Amino acid sequence: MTLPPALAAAAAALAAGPAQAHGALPGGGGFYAGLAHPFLAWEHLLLLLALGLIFGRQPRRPGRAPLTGLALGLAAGLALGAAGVVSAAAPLAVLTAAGLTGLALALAPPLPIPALAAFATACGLAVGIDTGAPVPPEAGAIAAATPSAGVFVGVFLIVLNAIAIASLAHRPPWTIAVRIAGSWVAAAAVMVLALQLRRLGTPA
Amino acid sequence: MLHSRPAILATAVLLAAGPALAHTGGTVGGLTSGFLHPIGGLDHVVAMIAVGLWGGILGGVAIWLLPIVFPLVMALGGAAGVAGVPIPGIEIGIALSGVVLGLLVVFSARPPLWIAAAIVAVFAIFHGHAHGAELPEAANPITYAVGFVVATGLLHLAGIAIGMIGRWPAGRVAVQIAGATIAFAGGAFLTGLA
Repeated sequence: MTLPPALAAAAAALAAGPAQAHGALPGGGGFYAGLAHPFLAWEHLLLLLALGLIFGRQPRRPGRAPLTGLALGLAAGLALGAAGVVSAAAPLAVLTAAGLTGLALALAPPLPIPALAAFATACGLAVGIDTGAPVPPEAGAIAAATPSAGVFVGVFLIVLNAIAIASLAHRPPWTIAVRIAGSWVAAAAVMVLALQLRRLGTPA
Repeated sequence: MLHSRPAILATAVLLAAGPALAHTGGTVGGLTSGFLHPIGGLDHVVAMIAVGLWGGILGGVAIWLLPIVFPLVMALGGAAGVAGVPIPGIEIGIALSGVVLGLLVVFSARPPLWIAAAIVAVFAIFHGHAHGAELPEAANPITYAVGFVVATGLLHLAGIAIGMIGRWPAGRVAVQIAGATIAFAGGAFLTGLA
């Protein structure tokens, strides 16, 4: 007997046990903190969701290039952040990218894959720098790398799930739902960006 | 002299407009208070539902175009509100949006799509400015912004769903009654009766 997908999903959801939010693995705190970061930093979450939805609209094989660009940019950004590079522009870049990505989702213009890949690389770089924290000199190699590894996994959990959702949304009303979601991302990002710019211009 | 009476009446009505219900001032929080901001003010609720209702009546591309245009333009109004750019008559514009959009629903107006989008966009500026003006007070601006954008969108979707019943003859009357109720509510906010 084969269960219908919706019924199977409902059964799986009902069978789920309590979430294990608190790391049971000693020494794994840095990894979990990194994993949680993109889910808790909503500016990042909005950008990554919108990026994933855009990626999911691309043809499968050429669509790998933006995903690779995001991975490379993120790795570079996290490395720069760990090396102590701090940029006040990174949070603004994340919000600007979220606004542009949401707008592109809403308006759905044709996007050349190389341009999308370059944009994804820049997004990864901004997210990485905005996330990365300097590593204390006394930290061992594993302790230094685990938070970044967690961020990497968290980022791709979000992006890959959004890709899966977008790739299932082939026809209306789901294609429309994706566009509406894009307009919501753009709206939230633009207003918070305006607030950040205002705060930059206001003397403390 | 007779010709000036409607203008005088309109001016008196505009001057009598009270503050919009959603804007209570004070510190606001994050996602929950952002989500409750459009829902907590009946002036926002009726206008948002009217946008969806009208989109449902216009049908076709308008069903998704209006709910996309609204948040995008609302963001520009919101940015102006955040930046402290003054836009005169915000509360009047919000109340007027209920009147105009309600009447458009009552009469099942079908202007060209770009005019419909422009009408919705103009009112979106007022609603966005009202939301944006409260954003700097939010404890967590990004979650607050997401909350009120999602609530606004869900109100549009509710309006579209109600507008769908207009495909049946009895439903068409119900949609027109809904439009009249929205226009009446907008008028009540405009005149300070509510």
